[in-house]
Amino acid sequence: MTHPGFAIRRSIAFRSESDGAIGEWILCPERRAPKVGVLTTQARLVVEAARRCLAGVERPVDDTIGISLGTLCGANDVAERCLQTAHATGIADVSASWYATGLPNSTGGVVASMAGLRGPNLTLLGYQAGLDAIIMACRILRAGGAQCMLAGGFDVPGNGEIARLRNAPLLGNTGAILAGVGLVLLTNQKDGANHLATVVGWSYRDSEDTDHDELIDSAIRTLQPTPSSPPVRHILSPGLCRHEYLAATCPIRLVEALTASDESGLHAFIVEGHGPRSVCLVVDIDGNIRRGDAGADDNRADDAGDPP
Amino acid sequence: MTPVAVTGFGVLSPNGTTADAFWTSLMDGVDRRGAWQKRPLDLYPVNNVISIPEDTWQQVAEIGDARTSAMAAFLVDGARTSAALPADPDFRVGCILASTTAGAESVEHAMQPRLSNSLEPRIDSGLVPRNGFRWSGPTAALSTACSSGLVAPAMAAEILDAGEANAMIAGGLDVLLEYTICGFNSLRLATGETCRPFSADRKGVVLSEGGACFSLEPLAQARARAAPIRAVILGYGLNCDAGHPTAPSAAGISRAIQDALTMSKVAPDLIGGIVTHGTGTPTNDSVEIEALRLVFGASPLPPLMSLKAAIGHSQAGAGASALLAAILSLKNGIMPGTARLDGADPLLGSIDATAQPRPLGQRCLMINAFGFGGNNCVFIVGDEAFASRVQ
Repeated sequence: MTHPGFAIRRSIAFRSESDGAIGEWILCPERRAPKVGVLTTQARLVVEAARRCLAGVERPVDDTIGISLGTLCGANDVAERCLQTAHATGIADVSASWYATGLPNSTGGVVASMAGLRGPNLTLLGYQAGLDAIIMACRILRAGGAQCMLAGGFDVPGNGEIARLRNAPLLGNTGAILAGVGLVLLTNQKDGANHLATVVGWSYRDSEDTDHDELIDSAIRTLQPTPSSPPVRHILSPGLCRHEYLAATCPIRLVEALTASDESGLHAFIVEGHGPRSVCLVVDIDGNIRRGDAGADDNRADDAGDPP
Repeated sequence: MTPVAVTGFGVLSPNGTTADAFWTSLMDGVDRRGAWQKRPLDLYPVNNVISIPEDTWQQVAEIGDARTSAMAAFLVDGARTSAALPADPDFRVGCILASTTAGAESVEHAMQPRLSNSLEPRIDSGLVPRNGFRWSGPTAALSTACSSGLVAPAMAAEILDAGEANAMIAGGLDVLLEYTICGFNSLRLATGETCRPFSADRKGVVLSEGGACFSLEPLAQARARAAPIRAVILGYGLNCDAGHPTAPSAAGISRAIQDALTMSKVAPDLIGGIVTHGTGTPTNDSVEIEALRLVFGASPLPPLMSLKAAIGHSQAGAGASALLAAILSLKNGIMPGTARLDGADPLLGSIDATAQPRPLGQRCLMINAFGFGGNNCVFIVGDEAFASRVQ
């Protein structure tokens, strides 16, 4: 397959504090919106990240920007509240908005509504879903299904979800399970266009014996037949990090690499630990073009780059 | 897009575990529901749901199991087996499955001590089967509400088109959860009566469960290995209304319809029938017809049917079940009617929808699936001969 790759034009990552507190500065100011009603914390977090990613992007009236999000918990806290309320005080006290709001794809729908994203709107599920979502966005671009795609992962686990995840075999000993979001704005690569990095390829492996070399080689072969320098490896497994952001973990790490000062070159992001399956995304970070951006560590937006 | 052959499928519906049982249910419209077993539904004003009978479930899973995972494994096994996929390790097979509420099943189990012991917390969706399967191609779990069952095969088609896999197993499914019953009650979208799409008396949705899963591969490859070609996916349209979270938009839906026709290179007058989303709510049916008219213009709409009158609305299973209904219609040369429809709503204008099955004209069908969040997906499928003519 020959394909020039996919340009990452913008990136943004937000994380809650280590005590779990979510600062207002990483949430959109609105608590409700005309078309979508009351906004969940998940929606406020991702809407704010999406807005900063799209800020300054020239958009024709008939543009087709899509969104592809990964999440492990979705809005399960809303689903839980819905049932608890019905059982405790009856269906009359269940808000009509809770069902749609509690679905995993509700956040993507709210972002699309508030940002006018009329392209494909995908939500992927699971710990690795942030990476899956970026890969799926690249596929949509490759197929001509959108002019650009917002893609990444988010999770804002509620207390009930955190308690359940603590019983999951791989997350029992992790540090804090926290809220976060990592997004990138992707387009098809074009010569001369300004970008932070290029998605070179991706790969999958379904085996107890994960061979990282093979996974990376396979990812590089996805789009470009000639591997360049060996990539920097980012191996992400549930429970390995002191701060766990679930489906946002890998996208946040990607944004960190994009915005670090000395990270140019190939980077391989590998998520493993969900059964025998591993997913790998290889990105070529172009240190010459990156400028004026800001990282996830200080929760600031990346407002650099030209419109896609 | 490269034409994609459907070479196998698996199905689970309130009417059974086989394509024959599924087809029979669409043709005769007989209600074969079982009782919903998890807990009493007395607190809900509308507890009219179409569950898979327990004796059918016993072929798939035990009560207390993570039934979403069990249903997914059953459907995937059916699709793989019926496609007779090569055992060659170099033949790369991936899997994309979709569910509206996969994560909510674990929430629901955790709230019911009777059920919670057997459901281990997990960090994946539980959708893509693990036991007994090794995936050599891409895998993913999708959730785009009630459009999911078509979106998963659409993404699988793109993966095949790009050469990332030799075959993809893709489809949609949902187990009926109390959360869904509660939600549709709170939205006042559920009816205690029968589901009557396109009728002037239509009062809403009857929830159900089930789904379908397909084995997909490039048409040329399927022909080369003499695989059973059950239908050909010619194109699809996929977009978002970017509007209201639960109300459909004629503008958004019509864009998806137009995109599907454009991708498939099929003119509207070659569509032999439409397997509609057809939920039986006053709003959905009128908006869907309005969207179709925006594309078909002054031309008469092709014959319409909704399978939700026969088997209810299985959410993410609905789009996949509709695709299966279309595939079986192409095979049999007959499109089932909309069960128990006694005259179409005059407010919908002139539409060709009846309870009676009718012979297919053109061997090409449109399938619609729309979901909360403004997600729209439209498929165009034809039989192999039709695909050869238009490509």
